[in-house]
Amino acid sequence: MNVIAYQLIVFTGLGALFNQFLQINKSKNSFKFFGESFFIGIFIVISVNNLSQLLKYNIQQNILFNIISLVSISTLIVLTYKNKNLIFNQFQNLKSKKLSPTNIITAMILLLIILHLYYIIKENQSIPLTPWDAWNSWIAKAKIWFYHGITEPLINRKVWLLSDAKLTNSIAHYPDGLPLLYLFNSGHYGWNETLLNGIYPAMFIAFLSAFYGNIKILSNHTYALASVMIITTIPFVNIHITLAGYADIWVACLLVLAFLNMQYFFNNPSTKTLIISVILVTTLVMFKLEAWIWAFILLTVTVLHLININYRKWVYLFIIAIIIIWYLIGGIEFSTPLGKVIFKPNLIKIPMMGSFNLSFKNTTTSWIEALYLSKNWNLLWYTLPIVLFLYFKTHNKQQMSMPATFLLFTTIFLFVLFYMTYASVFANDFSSSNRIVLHIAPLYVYFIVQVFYRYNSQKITNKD
Amino acid sequence: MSKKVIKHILICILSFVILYSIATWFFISSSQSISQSNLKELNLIERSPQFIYGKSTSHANALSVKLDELGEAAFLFKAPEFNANKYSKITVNIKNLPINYQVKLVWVKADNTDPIEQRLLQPFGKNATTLLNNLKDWNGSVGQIGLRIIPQEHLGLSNPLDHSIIVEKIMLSQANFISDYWVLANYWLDYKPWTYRSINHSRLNKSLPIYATPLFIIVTWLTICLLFSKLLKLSSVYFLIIPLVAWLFLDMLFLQNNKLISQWTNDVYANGELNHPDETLYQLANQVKSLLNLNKNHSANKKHKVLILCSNRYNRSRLIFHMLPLNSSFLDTINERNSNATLKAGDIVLSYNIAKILVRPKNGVLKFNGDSVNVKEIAKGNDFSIMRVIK
Repeated sequence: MNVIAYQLIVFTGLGALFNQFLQINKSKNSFKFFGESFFIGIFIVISVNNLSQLLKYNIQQNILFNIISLVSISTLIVLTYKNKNLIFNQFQNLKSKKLSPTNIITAMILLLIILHLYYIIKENQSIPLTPWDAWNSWIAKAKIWFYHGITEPLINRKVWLLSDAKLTNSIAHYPDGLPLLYLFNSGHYGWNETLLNGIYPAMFIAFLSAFYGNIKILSNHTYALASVMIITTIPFVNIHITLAGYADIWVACLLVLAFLNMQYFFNNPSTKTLIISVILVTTLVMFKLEAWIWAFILLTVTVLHLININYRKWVYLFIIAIIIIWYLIGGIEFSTPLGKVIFKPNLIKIPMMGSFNLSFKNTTTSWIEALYLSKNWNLLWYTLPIVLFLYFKTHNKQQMSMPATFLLFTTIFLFVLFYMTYASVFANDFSSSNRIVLHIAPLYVYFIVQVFYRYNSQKITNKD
Repeated sequence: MSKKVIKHILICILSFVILYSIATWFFISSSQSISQSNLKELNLIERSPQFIYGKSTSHANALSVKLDELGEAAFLFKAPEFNANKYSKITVNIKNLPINYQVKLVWVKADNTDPIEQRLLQPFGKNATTLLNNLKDWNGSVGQIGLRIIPQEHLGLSNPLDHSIIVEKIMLSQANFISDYWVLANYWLDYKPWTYRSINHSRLNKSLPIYATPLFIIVTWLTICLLFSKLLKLSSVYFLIIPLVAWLFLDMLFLQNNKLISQWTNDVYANGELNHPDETLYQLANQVKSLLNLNKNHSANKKHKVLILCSNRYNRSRLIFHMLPLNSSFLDTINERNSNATLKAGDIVLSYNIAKILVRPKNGVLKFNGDSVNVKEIAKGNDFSIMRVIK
């Protein structure tokens, strides 16, 4: 528990300094402020380490950790002192709360969340292992840098066989977000994988705070609390925090927070509001190569929503027309500095991403098993019919159209990936398909609460 | 609370109980066993077991079992031949069994000498009933039957136990709907740590037919309750409450399993004296490091490569990980035909294979994948050989 608490202090304090300095948090929502500060702190640490690699300066992680800890603790002390009256008033409000049914239900929900966090933290700090993909790849990267210094270049295995005195790693070409975070923490804890894994529960606690804070602004307290309860009680989410190592949960959390901030930007346009979203998207692509796809979809959805709603359907029609023309002319190909790009009905080739032959393979049975018959998702995906029904029944779709569009585009992408490419093999291996679905699961939870909130508001308005 | 609401709540509870009862009825029943209600039980504890692994020490009215040095015990009872359909359940009660050990039922059919195994529900010092009538191999004439107690193999833990395991009950009998009403709930709560090895692989949960899985029952119950809510014209808030109750029920099952996992993790991993899960590989990697005189000058250690020759992908990957910060990777990939050309004098080759099909050098020559290289063997064991490349 000390490990997790200290991680929260170090990263949140650092991010809070940046947050406070730039006066970014216009919403005055403390849950949002502190939750997002953690992720800003993550961004700063990874960026500093990346910069030191770029400049070939072998920064000592123990010194960096100590400096950042000092800054973080000082920031949090100053913030606490500056807001002491506010904190005191909050405590007084809490003490004066009456034992109403609403407060009892709130307390029970909080108890359930705490119980889940208890088991997550206990297990996370007891297990000496991480999953295969983690120790075989990015944790191994961090371990190499721990011993050989952060500036040690890594090459891929085929080149390693022919090289001299160079080290190899199976993901030498991959983004370094997670290895650099582990390396940073090893400056304080040494190479102890169980302690280093403590960053996962710390991240999740910060995420829950930010998730609640953001959704509260976009709806209300009840729906925000419900969304936090739903996300905390999804077994697959619990397992990904407990058995630390996969970057998918980071992608999932960063993606939804970036999205929520983008939606908040549309409601309250301001450059500073946009900064958080940009920071979160940048951090997102520091974790996984696949995150670029989500970043691209987010950018597309953002651009579409900048267009006036009256003209938007023409834009959609235009996109459909382009796709039809593209299919009829047999696709396109062009050269870029990174290599040839091919978009054809039977082949997609993107430099650094790979080459995908397209042919239809029916993987529906595997998807039904993964989403509806396994224990991973509780009843989450069973809500889809009712959510879609209520979405179409709600007249004012302004707040819902952005998440709906994003989810539609991701569904199209997943369909192409798992029905049309060789990745259909991985649809039968639930590990891969479920992990990709995890990336968008928190956003879907947000969509559920937004739909219910708007539909309920419409019903109340109609009654009046 | 209005009478209509109370009526609805009672209907919801009753519909769940009815659904559960129907699923339990189908799960327990088998066409022949129902009619043979007067059959006796078969108490195997009364018979003398023949030990294949492990041994027995004396204990009054129970079977006391000591595991062998590999952490295993297996014993068979020579009962008179019986038709498997006579008995539809087995009840086992074992004390002093740590939960990182699993219990399997072993039986040998009269017409086939190959033993068949079936994992049983974990007996946590109380009676654990496992239904047999749904098993595809529980049929025909059974000649021998017994138990096998082994470590949870997928977790790689086989620490020997100092104390004896007490088998208090091994009883074959007929399943009964009334006395075995809670058997399905026990399946839902049964702790299966190996299912979390592949955290989302639903195919590992084969012991339950689909109609008996908690998810299926909950979804069916949910549908029935929502229909009743519509018929009774209840407030739409019940359309939120009912799914929420369903969600929370499944969550409670998940938390219950978490509690058991947490207990197990504490028992197994939190004790500092217990071995690392892949201790053998870890010690071997340390042996290589000490042979190379690993010192703080890590840049010097980069010059010589350590190449792992092992057919098991997991083992070689773990070895590479444990050997960090040494400069190591694997050697035996068929695609890299030029691997021999990159080996330099002073490079280390670690050949490892737990299945004893070990690639060792002969007369100073190591042959692999059609290539050969001159080496000097500097250390060896039953499962490994460490060689230094000469030229």
